Amino acid sequence: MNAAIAIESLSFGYNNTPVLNELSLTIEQGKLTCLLGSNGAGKTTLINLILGRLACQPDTIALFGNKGTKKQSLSQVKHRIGAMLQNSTAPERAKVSELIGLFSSYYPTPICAESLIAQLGLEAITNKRFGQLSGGQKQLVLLALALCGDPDLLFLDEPSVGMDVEVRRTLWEVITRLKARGKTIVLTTHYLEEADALADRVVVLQQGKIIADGTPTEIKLTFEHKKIKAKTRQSLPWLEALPNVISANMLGQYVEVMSTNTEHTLKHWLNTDSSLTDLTIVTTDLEQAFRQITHSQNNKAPASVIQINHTTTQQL
Amino acid sequence: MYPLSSRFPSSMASLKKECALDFNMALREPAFIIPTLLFPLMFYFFFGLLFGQQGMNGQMPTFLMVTYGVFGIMSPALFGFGASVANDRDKGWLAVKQVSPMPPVQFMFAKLYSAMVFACAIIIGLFCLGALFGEVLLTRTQWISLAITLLAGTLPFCALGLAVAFLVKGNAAVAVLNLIYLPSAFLSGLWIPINYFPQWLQYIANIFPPFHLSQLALKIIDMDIGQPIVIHLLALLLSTGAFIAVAIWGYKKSQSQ
Repeated sequence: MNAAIAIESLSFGYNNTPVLNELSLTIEQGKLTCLLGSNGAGKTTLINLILGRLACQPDTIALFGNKGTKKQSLSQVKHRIGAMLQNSTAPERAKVSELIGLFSSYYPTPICAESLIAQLGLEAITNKRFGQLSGGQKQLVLLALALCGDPDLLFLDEPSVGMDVEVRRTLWEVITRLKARGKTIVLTTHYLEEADALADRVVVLQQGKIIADGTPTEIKLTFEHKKIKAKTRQSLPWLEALPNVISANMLGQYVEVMSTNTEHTLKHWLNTDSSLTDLTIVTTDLEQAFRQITHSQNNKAPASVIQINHTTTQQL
Repeated sequence: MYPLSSRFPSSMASLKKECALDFNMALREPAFIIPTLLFPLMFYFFFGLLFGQQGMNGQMPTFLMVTYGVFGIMSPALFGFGASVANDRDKGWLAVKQVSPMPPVQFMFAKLYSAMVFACAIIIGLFCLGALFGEVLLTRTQWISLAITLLAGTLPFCALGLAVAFLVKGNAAVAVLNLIYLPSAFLSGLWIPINYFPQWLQYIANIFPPFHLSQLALKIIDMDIGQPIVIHLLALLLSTGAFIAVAIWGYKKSQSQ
């Protein structure tokens, strides 16, 4: 079986600023691959290149084994692709039903509009104009437009931005159902939680390069650190010496300790420090974790990692 | 790949939906509809019928019906076509469509269709006003040739609108289009007959496409200033080509940011 997407040493830059650097990536059919990365890591650029919205060197991207010159190969597979782009909208004065009807007409085998509307819970708003919808509803309508051709390959670029909890749950349900039907999905997100819940594979981009590639569990082990916040009379060097601790610093009356394995760290800490009170554990978001990783890659000295943590905390 | 036979009827249905939606959306926009449909009719009513009835030996209503016709069809072409493409591009809607299997020609055709329907409405409105209240008497051939000339005349302005849409972003496009629309309409002699302009202004008018379209239309009723028809046709064709070239260039530039 052909890979859904095969990318070979793809480079791209805007006005001499390189964004992607000799990137190679193969995405198998029937899998949900999550592209993770901080802002400016190159996720959206990569998707735009795959979708042909940006021009790249010939023969670097093949969709469903279709290489050839880019334009040809893309138009041959376009009807098998659905995409929800970042920061896109539909015209304010178009009704939801009109938009879905129009987009369904672009595809040879569209799915039944009624069942799509029911799946996404849009029944109540089909006669409303796009401009009258809430942010989350707009996202769902754009998702409906991506889905209405029953695509084999679906791109979702930051789909959950602007969605409330309810809407995000609908999104997750729809994605799970598509996965069960063997569809290939490429998802970009900021949220490690989302990647964890949905993805078969997580690819981490950093400055246009793939720095990690694995199952969500593997990626989490590498990237997710937890922050322990507490009051204690122990010194910072003592805390830094605890197992799995990567940094510790003071914030007012509290100490903040970053750990790669909270359970292990706490076991030792609780056993040896009777002055420990007011304990909370916070999961750092991916953005923070990335900043740490980049920084520790550039400067190996742990002192600078502490410094970075300190500034991060102050910004929060 | 799916067979062509199943693709063709579906693409006809798709084209119809595209046109219907584009036209309906324009109808739902009062800020577009009112000035586009009402202004040419209103201006013609005031300057051509109320105040201009006796001008040019009683020929003023006929003359201005033609020039306000040119003024009228420019608006849906520049704004309905140009400004709406600029807006679609700005808001990311064009990107959503580009990524879909929609043929780009279909998108353009739908916009062109809307511009033409509005142009038709304006032409019919002006003709009715002229015939009913302005004593405009023309032969059947003249009426029909005028209507066809004005309708086909939307094309250069659609191309101009498109060029601006791909060079200037969103709301700025509307401002730029107004800066082109109103001065070029005036300097082409669409509001005040070009014959009343000083000679040097008449020369300058040659650089504006609306001047050439209006002269072409005025030739049908024998009221043009007497330049050869080839000059006007050539000017319109060349400017349309140039605008399309600029639009394509701007489109490519906007893609690679």
